[in-house]
Amino acid sequence: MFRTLARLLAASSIDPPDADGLFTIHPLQLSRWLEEVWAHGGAANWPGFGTSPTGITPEVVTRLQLPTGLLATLRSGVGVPGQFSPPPATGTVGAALPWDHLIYAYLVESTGVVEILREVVRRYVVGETLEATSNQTYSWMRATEELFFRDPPLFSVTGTVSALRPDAVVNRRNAYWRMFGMDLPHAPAGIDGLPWKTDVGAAANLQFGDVWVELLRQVWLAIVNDSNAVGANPTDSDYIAYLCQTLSEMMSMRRRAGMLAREEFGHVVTMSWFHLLVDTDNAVVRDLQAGAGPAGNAADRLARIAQRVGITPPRRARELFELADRVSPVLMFIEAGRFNDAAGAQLLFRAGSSNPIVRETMNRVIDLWQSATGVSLKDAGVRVAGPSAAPAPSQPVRLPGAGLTTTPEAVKTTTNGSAPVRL
Amino acid sequence: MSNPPQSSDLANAIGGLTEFLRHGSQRPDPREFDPEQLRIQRDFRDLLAGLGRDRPDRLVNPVLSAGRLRLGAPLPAAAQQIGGYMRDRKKVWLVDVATVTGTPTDLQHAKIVTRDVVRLRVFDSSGREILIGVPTII
Repeated sequence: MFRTLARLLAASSIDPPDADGLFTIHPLQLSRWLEEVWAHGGAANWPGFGTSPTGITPEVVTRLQLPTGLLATLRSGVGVPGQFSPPPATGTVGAALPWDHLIYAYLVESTGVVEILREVVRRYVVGETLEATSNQTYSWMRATEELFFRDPPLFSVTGTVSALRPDAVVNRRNAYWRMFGMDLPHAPAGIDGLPWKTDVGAAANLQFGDVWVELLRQVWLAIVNDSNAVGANPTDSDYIAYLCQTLSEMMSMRRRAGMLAREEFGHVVTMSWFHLLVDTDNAVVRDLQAGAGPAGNAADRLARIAQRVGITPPRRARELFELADRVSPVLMFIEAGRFNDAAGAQLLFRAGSSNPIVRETMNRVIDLWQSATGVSLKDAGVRVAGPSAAPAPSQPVRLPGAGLTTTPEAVKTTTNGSAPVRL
Repeated sequence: MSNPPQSSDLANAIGGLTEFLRHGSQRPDPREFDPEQLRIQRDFRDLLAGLGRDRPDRLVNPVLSAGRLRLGAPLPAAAQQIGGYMRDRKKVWLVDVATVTGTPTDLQHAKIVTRDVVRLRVFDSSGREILIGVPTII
C-alpha cells in the first residue's frame, strides 16, 4: 500500500514514486490513511471482482472498518507531504485502492528485508555505528519504529498484535502457514520451535504449494503447445481450470467470515513499507550508501544495505521481489474464480489477442519461480528419444498431495559483518 | 483420365489465393479470445494498473500552448477525456475529446491553458488512465 501511496504522491505514473516525500509524512497520518484505504474496500470494491467477490467482501470491510463518523473526525491529510491536504486521487478506475494478496507479503518477507531493515533501525536508534542521517532518513526511521516495531494504535484495522499473539513475526508466519502451508526460508531469530503452527489444527492449506507448482507446470506445457497445429497436444484446459478451482477453494476456506482479512492487510502494508525503501535510490538508501542507480533493482540495494549491518540476504532476492509483484494479481484472480472454467483458464496460456497480458505474466512467473525455488517446471516438455525411454505423463493421476517442506532451514549465522546477526 | 486444368481455372485459383493472402479468411479466427475472455483480460489489466504494475502508454511529443495542444500522433479511439494536471495531481483543465476542434494531431479548445500544467492525462469512458505525457510548454 505504501508503494501505491508513493506512486500517487508523484506527479504522474511515469514519474518515479515519491518515496522521499512519503517518508516525511507523520506516522499518525500514515496510520490514519491506512484506515481510509481499508474503508474504501480495496479489492472488495474493485470493478473486476464485482461479479464474484470472494475473500475480502464489502460486508467484511464494512464490519471491520471504523464507523464513518469516527473516520471523518481525524482525516489523514496525506495529499502533500509536509502539509495537511486531502489524499491524492487514484487516477484509475473507481475510488478504491486495491491492496496486494497475502502471497505478496510472503514473497517479500522471504527476501529477509524485514530483518535487515530492523537491524538498520535498531543501530540508528541505539547508537552511531552507521553514519549520521539526513532529515528524511531520520523521519523514515521514526515512522518505521512507530508503525511496525511497537504496538499499533488501539482499535486500528492493522492491530493484530495483542497479549494473545504478542509477536508480529510469529503472527505473519502463522498467516502464511494457514493460507499457503509454507514457511519462510529463514528461521526467525530468538524464537524457539515453531509457535506459528501451534493450535492451527488441520486447517492449514498444506497442499497449496504442490497444486500451485502443478498449475505452473501445466501452464508451461500449454504455452509450449499453444501454436501446435499438427500432432499431439497435451494441453488440457479443463485440468488447468480444475487446478485453479482447487486453489480458489483452498483460499476461500481460510477466508470464511473474514478470517485473515485484517491480517492480510496488515502484513501486506508492512511489507510494502520495507519494499518501498529498496525500490528506488531515495534519501535513506543514499545515506546507507546502497544506491544501485536508475537501472538497479531492489535486491541490489538490499544486498548493499545488508552488508552494512552484517547480514547475508538470500541469493534469490532478485527473483522474489519481482515474483511478489506478479504472483499477487494472479492469485487474486484465481481466488475470485476467474479461471475456474476452461475458457477462463485459456487466458493463462493462449495468445488470443494482440497483448495477452495474463499469459505474459504467467510466463514470467514460471521463469522466476523456477529460478527462485530450484523446482524444475519445464522438464515435462522434454522427451528423451530412444526405444527404452518411456514417455513422461503430461498429468499426474491425482492432484499433488502433501510433501511440502514443513520446517524452515536451520538458522544461518552470517560471517561478513561485525555483528553476529542471524537471518 | 481427368481433363487437364483450363487456364481460366488456374487464373481463378491464383485470384482466390491472392485475395486470401491480402485479406485473410473471412471466417473468425478460432484462436482469438471471445468477448468474455477479453473482459477478464481487461479486468486483469485494470487490476495491474490499480496496483501500479501496468503503467499507461506515453503521449507522443505533446506541445502545449494557450488553447492548443499538438500531438505527434492522434489520440486512440478509446480516448474520452484529456486533461492538464499539476504536480500534485490537481486538475487544471479537463475537456471531452468530442468537444475539441482542429485536427487529430492539433487539438484546440478554449479551456486549454498552460499555467501550472506539468502532466497531461488521457482517460477512457470508464475513467481509466490510458495515456500520459509530459508537455512541452510554448
